[in-house]
Amino acid sequence: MIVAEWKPIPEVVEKLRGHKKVLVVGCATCVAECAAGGEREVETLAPLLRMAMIKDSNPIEVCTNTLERQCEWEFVEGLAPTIMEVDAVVSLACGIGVQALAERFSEVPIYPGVNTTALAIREEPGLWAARCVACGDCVLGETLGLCPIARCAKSILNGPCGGTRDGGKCEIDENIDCIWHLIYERAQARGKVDALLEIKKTKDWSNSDHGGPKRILREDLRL
Amino acid sequence: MSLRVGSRLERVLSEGHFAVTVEVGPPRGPNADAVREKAKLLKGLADAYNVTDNQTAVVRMSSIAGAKILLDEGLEPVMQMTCRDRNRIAIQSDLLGAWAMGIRNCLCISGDHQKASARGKLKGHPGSKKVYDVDSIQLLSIMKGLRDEAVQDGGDSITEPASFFIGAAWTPLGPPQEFRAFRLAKKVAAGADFIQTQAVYDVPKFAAQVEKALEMGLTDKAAILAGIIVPRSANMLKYMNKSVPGVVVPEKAIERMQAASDQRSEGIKITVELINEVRQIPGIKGVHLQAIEAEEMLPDIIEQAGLLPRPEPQQ
Amino acid sequence: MSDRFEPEILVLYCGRALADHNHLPEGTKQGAGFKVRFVMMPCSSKIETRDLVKLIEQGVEGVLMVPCLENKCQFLVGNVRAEKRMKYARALLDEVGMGADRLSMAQGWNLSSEELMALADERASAVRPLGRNPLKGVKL
Ligand code: SF4
Ligand code: SF4
Repeated sequence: MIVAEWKPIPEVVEKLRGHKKVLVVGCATCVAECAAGGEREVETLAPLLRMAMIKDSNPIEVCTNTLERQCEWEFVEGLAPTIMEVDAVVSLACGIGVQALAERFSEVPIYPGVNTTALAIREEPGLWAARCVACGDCVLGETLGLCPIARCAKSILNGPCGGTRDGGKCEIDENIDCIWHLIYERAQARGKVDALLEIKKTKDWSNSDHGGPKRILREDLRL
Repeated sequence: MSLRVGSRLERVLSEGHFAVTVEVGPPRGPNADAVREKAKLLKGLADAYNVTDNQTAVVRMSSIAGAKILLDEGLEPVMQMTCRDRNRIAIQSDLLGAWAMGIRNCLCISGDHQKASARGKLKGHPGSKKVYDVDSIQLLSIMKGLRDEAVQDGGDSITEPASFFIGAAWTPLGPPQEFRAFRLAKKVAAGADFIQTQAVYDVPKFAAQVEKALEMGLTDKAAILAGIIVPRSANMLKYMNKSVPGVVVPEKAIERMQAASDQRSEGIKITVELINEVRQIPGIKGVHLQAIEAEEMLPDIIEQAGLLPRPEPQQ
Repeated sequence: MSDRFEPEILVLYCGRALADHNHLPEGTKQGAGFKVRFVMMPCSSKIETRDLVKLIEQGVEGVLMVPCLENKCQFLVGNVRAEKRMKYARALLDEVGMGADRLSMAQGWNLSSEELMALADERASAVRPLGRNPLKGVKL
């Protein structure tokens, strides 16, 4: 899922100064799963914003809504009647959802309430960790299903680097596994260490963000 | 073995001398004299001098500039190049520039992640954007391509080869230890001519890893220089043991340092002993000495280890 | 002063924290210099962050949550979880400038109604310095 984290509330408050009626919109998909922008979080942030704005001597009216998916036009459309009644929107969806609102309702200011931070999995209750960075040239087939692009601090293809700590942790953080250590262990368990001896050539990053804004065109699906 | 590049370091090694390289950290400022002073202090002590590339991701004078200043002072540099800050375009461009200026040895390393820059007392640049376009092994291949085929990573040719004596780092005691010799093999296959290792304090453990490399035939293909960081205090040893990945300091060494009345001169003694011990290990062709922010300790060490004067290799 | 500031405290308690189940306190009571409302909750684990934040938004000066003891929870770890949410909600209140101390928690076991009242009194003293809840009486 796409994971996001709340922005510091004062950063949002700053943006809301001068507005009178604000809509806080959540999304019931990824950001709900990662407890940043589902209905629960919308209903938590709304009272906090009311309080913060009163403290800030800028009382505002805050109303709430949580869409099934903020990144699809069909669902976004459902907001049309409400949007007319507010003068600003705080979206707790990922950056895609925020932009969908901003595109559909371009006349109303839309502020992000979260920072979108990763493509991650819930490892444990209350703990999410990155799994993919959409690199555009998936190597999981060569790395026994463990991603060295998203999960190695240096995204190296011929790991592990010299920084692996005791216990197989990454040099940048003792709480993060050195993914190459895990890849090695899995390779060993599967009798596949040989596959790690081959030198992996420089990667073509162009089918991702690095190649410019990504566009996917499928003629078979076009109208 | 015919020479690939003919750098002094390569010649010293090919003539079978026990090589000495030392590390020169560039200053945290634009002061060329700071580099020249270190050059004066260290001239004649080593066969080549590593100029670090923003080690621990802290901004310093570039390794390329530092290497050039050493060159002008008559010292042969080993320019270190990390994969942290440059994409493959910048890397190759800098390599061409370095070669044009007379730099002939280059050490390829992945480099400490930018987060490391804020780990000490400095603010550093932990918020910088990550590059890591290529990894250290791919960097070796790139350099080999520029030298042996005069071709860039992308396949385009360059007007003439940029011929470097290519170095790589090795952390033999980093986990998973069983894989470290294999990774060394990858580096050698990718193009490494010489290897400088992570600091050695536990000689038997280190020797066991070198033996594996020897059995795999790697020590014939690349010259391994054992890395030694000059210890200055028991605290420094403890810190390295705990916090520097792949550095294993035996308890005995820490106790010995602790008990010493003058830890600095004990550090010199320990270093000299380490040099003599690693020298006995089959497959070790030299030492790489690092006296971080204490280069003035090096003359005594190298002298006492009986490594002076440095050989004058044939042309 | 005639209209001396009397903080309004809401006490949410777990029935298991009290000794006498026949005499569970409910409703609003007058304390010495504060008002207190007692509400029994099914289990502290049912109280979410948003509930805590909303209670403050509704204008009370302070909320005290009294779950049962750590190893006595009928849902085993409900009160441990509640404590973590309480901590988070306190941080959020701090972030919006309301003051973390408007929310707090004190585990209880075998408490008498008097002891519960004493806890409310303590809470009242703690929130008095924070002053009146600025949301009090605000129409939302
Ligand atoms: S290799 Fe690329 S596409 Fe595959 S999981 Fe990793 S980042 Fe995602
Ligand atoms: S320690 Fe492992 S995960 Fe961390 S940068 Fe090095 S290879 Fe990557």
